[in-house]
Amino acid sequence: MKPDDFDEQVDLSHLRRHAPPTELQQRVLRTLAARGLVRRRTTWLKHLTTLAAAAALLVIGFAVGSRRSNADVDLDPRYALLLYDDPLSTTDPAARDSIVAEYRRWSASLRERGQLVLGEELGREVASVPDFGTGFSEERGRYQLGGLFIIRAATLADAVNLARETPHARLGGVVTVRPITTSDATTPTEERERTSS
Amino acid sequence: MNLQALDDRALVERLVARRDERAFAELYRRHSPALFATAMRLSTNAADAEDAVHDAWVRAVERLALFEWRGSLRSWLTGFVVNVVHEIRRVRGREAPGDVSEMVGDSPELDELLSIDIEVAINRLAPRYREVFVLHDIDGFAHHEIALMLSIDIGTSKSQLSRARGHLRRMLGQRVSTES
Repeated sequence: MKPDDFDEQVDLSHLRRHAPPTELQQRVLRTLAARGLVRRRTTWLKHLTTLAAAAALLVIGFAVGSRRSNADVDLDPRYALLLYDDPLSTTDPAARDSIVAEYRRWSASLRERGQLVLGEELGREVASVPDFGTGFSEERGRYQLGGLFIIRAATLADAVNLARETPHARLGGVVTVRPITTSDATTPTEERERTSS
Repeated sequence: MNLQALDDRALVERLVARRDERAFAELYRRHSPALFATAMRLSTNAADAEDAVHDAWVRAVERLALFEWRGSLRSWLTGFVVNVVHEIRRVRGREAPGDVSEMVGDSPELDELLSIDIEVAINRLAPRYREVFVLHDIDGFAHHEIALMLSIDIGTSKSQLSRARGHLRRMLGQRVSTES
C-alpha cells in the first residue's frame, strides 16, 4: 500500500453495520404526533364503522360495494372503470354463472384491500338528456356501457393495472379508466355521511 | 395499498397532505438505517446518534412541504442529521478526536501500540475530514451534495476527502506494518 496514493479508496470491507434501535421510530412518531405532523392510526379507528362485508348487496349478478371500511382505508384518488361490451353478444346461462362468480371474487379482493367504492351492472335500457334514442354511439357504434366500478388507486397507472385484472378485460371487453375529479378531501366520517344521505 | 411500491415523492405527498402515519413509517423504514449509520460515524456515541436522527426527522417533516426535490430526499435528510450532529457537539461539549495528522508520525512508540481497525480509524479523523469521508466514501453522496450539506466548496470537499483517505491509509498501513 503506497501511502502517497491519496486517490485510492480505503478498504471498507470491515465496516460495521449500525442499525437504529427499534424504539427510535416510536419516539419520532410520538414527537411528530404531538406536533400535529402525523395523524396516528388509532385516531382514525375512532371514526370508522365496520360494515359486514359478507352481506354485500348483489346487483344483477355483480358483487357490489357494500363498502367495507377498515383501518387501512385510504383516501387514494378515485377512478371510474367503465365497462363496455357488445349487447348483442350472447352468453349461455351456465357460462354467465361462472362469469358472475369470477366478478364476485375479483370485487371481493378489491374490497378486502379497501379499494372498492362501488360496482354496478347497468341495464340495457337507455334514456338520455337530450334524447338520443338508443344512446351515444360508442366505439364502432356497437359497444354499450354495461357496468362501472368506482375504485381507489394511488395513480392512474395503478387504476389501469386494476382494470386489466377485471374479468371484463380478461373476457375481451373494453374498460376505460377515468379519474374522478371532484374533491375527495374528506374524512371517512364525512364521506360516510355524504354517501348515506 | 402497498406503500413500498410508492416512490419517495409519492410518500411525501401523502404525509404532507394527509399526515399519513403509514407513509411516514415507510419513509422511516427506507431511510433511517442509513441516517443512523451516518449519525453514528459522525457522533461520539449512540445516544447522540439517536438524538440526531430523532431531531433530523422532526425538522425534516416540519419542512417537507417546502422541499423542492432538487436533490434526493436521502441527501436532504442527511443534511439535517449533519446539522444536528454539529449542534449536539457544540451544545453538549463533545470533544472530537484530534487531527490524526498530529498523531501519526509524532510518536513511533505510540504508533506501534495502536490497534486500529477501520471504524476506530475513521473516528480518529478530524471532524471536517471524517464528515466528508463518511458522506462520500461510505454514504455515496457526490461532492456537490456534500458541499451543500456542509456549506463548503466542492473543491474543499474534494481536498478534504483526499486528506482523509491519506490519513486513514497511514493509520491502517501503520497497523499492517506492526503486524508483519
